Amino acid sequence: MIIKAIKLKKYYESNQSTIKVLKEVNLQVEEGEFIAIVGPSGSGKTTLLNILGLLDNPTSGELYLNGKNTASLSDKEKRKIRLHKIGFIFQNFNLISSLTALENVELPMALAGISPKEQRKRAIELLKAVKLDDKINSKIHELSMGEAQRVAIARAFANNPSIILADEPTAQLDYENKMNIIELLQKLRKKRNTTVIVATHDLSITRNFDKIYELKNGKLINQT
Amino acid sequence: MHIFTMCIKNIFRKKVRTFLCITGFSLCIMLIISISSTVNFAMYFIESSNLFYKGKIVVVSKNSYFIQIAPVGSALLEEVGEQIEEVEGVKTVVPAIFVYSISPEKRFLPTNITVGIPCGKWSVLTGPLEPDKGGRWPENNSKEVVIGRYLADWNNLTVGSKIVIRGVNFTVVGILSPGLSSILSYMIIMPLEVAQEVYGYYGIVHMFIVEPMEGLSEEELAERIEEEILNVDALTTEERNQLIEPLLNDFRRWSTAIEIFSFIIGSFFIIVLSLINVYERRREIAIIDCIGASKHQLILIIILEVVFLCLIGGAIGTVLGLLSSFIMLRWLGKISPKILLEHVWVVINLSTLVNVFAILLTMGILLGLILAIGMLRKGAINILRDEI
Repeated sequence: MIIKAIKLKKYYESNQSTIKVLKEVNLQVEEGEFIAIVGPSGSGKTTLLNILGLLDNPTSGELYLNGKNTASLSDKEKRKIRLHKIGFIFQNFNLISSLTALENVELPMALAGISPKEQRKRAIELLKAVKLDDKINSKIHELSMGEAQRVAIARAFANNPSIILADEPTAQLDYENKMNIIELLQKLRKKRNTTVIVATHDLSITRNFDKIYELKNGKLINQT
Repeated sequence: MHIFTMCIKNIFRKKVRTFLCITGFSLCIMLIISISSTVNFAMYFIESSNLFYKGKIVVVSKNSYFIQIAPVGSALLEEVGEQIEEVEGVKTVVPAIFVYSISPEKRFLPTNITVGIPCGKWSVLTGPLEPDKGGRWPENNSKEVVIGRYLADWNNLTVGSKIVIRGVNFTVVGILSPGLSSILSYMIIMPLEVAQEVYGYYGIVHMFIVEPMEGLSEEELAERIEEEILNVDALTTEERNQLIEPLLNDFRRWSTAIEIFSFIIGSFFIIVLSLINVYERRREIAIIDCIGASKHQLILIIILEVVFLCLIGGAIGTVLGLLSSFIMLRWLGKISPKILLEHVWVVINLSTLVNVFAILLTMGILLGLILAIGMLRKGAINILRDEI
């Protein structure tokens, strides 16, 4: 089991009141699974993905990644896991605008200390895989929304992570591009045996997922 | 791609921001360097004049003023020189006349000092300095002058040029290019008796420069002169320097205050620019944080950019500051290019440059650290949420 969440809670203190975003989330994900977490905006999908991706801490509960309790991890260890084991895809792409498509894909590898030659080779392969080999040296602002998201996908796979966390990856795209992105994620995760968790409010893209969970009232309900 | 390469690329791709940051840094450093360099040169200029008549006594009328090289309000009969010669321990006595001229007609010189010295005694004023090649000292009782380099450059005069002083025609027979003191550059040196005739000081001089015999101290001889001759002040080298010291101290205090003030203003702008620069990149840094960059890498990215901008801005600002300093000294201070070139290392004060760069670099690193720590505390996710 690659991810195991037990009674995860996340509360925010705001104006003398407590907002309970996640009330008791339990989740078990096997290696290579393709999982969708659906729910309306504000249901806590992003918060859950941030916790699963070690970007945020739960108020209480336990999270195990590859069998290891993340509560005992130091900040340094969490950063290392984020860099090597987890790839992130964000709703608004979060690409670095001053870098080219190729350099954006190279970035996680540069942070991981991979040699520039190897970075370039792997980045070109990934950009080919997402069918952007003709846009390698394009600036981010020269890309369409769909292309920018494909660069973000290539970047997420750069360090061969075992988990990909995609937060509303299709929210800004038209139907055709949405389906292309989901197909691409499917294809890449099969090829690399990567676990992919997609948070979305769009039920139209959830047809080919292994499991679908709904986040409702701060709790995760299995829909499959 | 290396992280360092990424930072450099980022700097050069965001052209407007980089241009504004570097321009801001440059202007701040230019302000600091130009003020400190100009003040340094002015201080050197004043202090170097303290070296005139070193080891000699200057005799002036009692209660007159003496500023560095020349007396103000002193007038002595020529016969006083003979009395001084009779004082035991006197080796040589040289009379001199100093006339400060501000030319209202602007026919010749804007400002100058005319010095009358007996022929053959020039070295008492100029030391080992001789007129430039092709020139010579004036002949006895002739209407000839040697002029300083600044006056020559400013008025396009060369050896053989004719000039008019108080209605009398003179020939320039030599140009003096002083290495040490710029005051000499402003002087018109002529034979004493000619100066007395032109300026109407018949039988009168302004001061005597007295050299003590070997083994006799300046203080001892000065005391003897004041005891034996009425109504004169005999000023030793130390006493003359003490006269100017309070003025110099005031000047030093003012210049230090101006330098500190300009540094505070400059530093304030540098801090603001650094903050703007880093805050503008908050989102990018948060993205890199999310991807999993180590704290060390994040701090390095922030510091590298700030330090790089500080150094480029600092280098450009230094060049601009020195240039503006040279321009100010040349056109406002009316210092000749030759003197400026000879004293280039006075204007380019290495310790000031090292200090400015050291402080700038420290500020860049400290600011980078503070900003990086602040951003790390806030957390990447919170920053990205704020930026949406």
